[in-house]
Amino acid sequence: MARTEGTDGRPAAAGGASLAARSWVVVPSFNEAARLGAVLDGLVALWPNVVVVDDGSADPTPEVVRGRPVWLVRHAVNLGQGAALQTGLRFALERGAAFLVTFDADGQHDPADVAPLLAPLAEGRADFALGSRFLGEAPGIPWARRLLLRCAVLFTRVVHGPKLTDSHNGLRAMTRRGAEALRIDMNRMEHASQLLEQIHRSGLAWVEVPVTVRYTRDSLAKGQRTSSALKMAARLLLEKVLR
Amino acid sequence: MNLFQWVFVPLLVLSSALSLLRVLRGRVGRREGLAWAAGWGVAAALVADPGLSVRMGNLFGIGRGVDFVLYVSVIAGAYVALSLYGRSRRLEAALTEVVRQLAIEKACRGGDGPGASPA
Repeated sequence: MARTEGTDGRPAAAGGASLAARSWVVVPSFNEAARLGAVLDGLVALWPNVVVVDDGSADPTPEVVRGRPVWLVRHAVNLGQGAALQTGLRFALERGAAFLVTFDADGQHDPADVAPLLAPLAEGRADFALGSRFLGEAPGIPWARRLLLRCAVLFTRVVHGPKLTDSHNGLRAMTRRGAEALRIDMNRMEHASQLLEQIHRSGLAWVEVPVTVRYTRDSLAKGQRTSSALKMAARLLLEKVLR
Repeated sequence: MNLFQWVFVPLLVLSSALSLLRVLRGRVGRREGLAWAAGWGVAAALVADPGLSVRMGNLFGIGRGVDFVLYVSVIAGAYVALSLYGRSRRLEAALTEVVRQLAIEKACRGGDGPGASPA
């Protein structure tokens, strides 16, 4: 099905109803004030329902958000990206979201990739659309990061099941039914793997969609270290044993 | 009895008695308190009679008493660590829920929308 534009210039779903009006973009954010403004400006041009979940930032994140037509939900303390994501999903669901998108606040993601992610959901082909930089583009990705992500893909296949090409991409979309099937209770970076496991166990259809992930010096400086990845893997295995 | 036994047997017996007292006064759960009292009591018995650990180890096919005590300590330590981990996860979940509910209640929208009004 070809994507068309609605009368407001925003992406429309089949039947002419505004996809944008029924979609919510959730942006978890922690100390990203320097880059968040540009990210939000790119999103609000196409998507009217954007919510930033400020995960206890110590920088002027609230001021950046308040100057834009965006919802702000603030955690009183830093809980982790997983917790911020679940908060944002709950907030959007309570406001009647039919489609939900998760989008990173650090400028690595391209707002133009949101519509292609929502297309298979709007067409009814899947309940989850997972962005993949390895099907799309990843300009500037260091070889060590590429290797680490490949290892993460292998880990996900062995431990959780789904055969993906990119298992740790924060750009993803889901239907309301898909979001309601998730219950993220791992607050830190392990949430990404937990989310994939829950998607796999839900039995709902998912697809991977090519997206672009841009790497800059700032985003790499703030990204996950190899030691953090090992701790994350250990904690995931421990959770699997205990549950 | 040697000096170590003279010092630690009374201390361990006292610890066991205090654990029982806390159970009787309702300051700790019955199961938890009795487990602690039993643990201190076993420790006191092992210190008072070192041959006891050898006899107990032989029951399980372990020749040396100190090996038996080491193995049991490792297993007990792992159980305690996992129990504490489970408790910390439950506390984290409770804290997360409280922070989340407060955050959603106080949500607001800025810019050109309906004004900076609460959700």
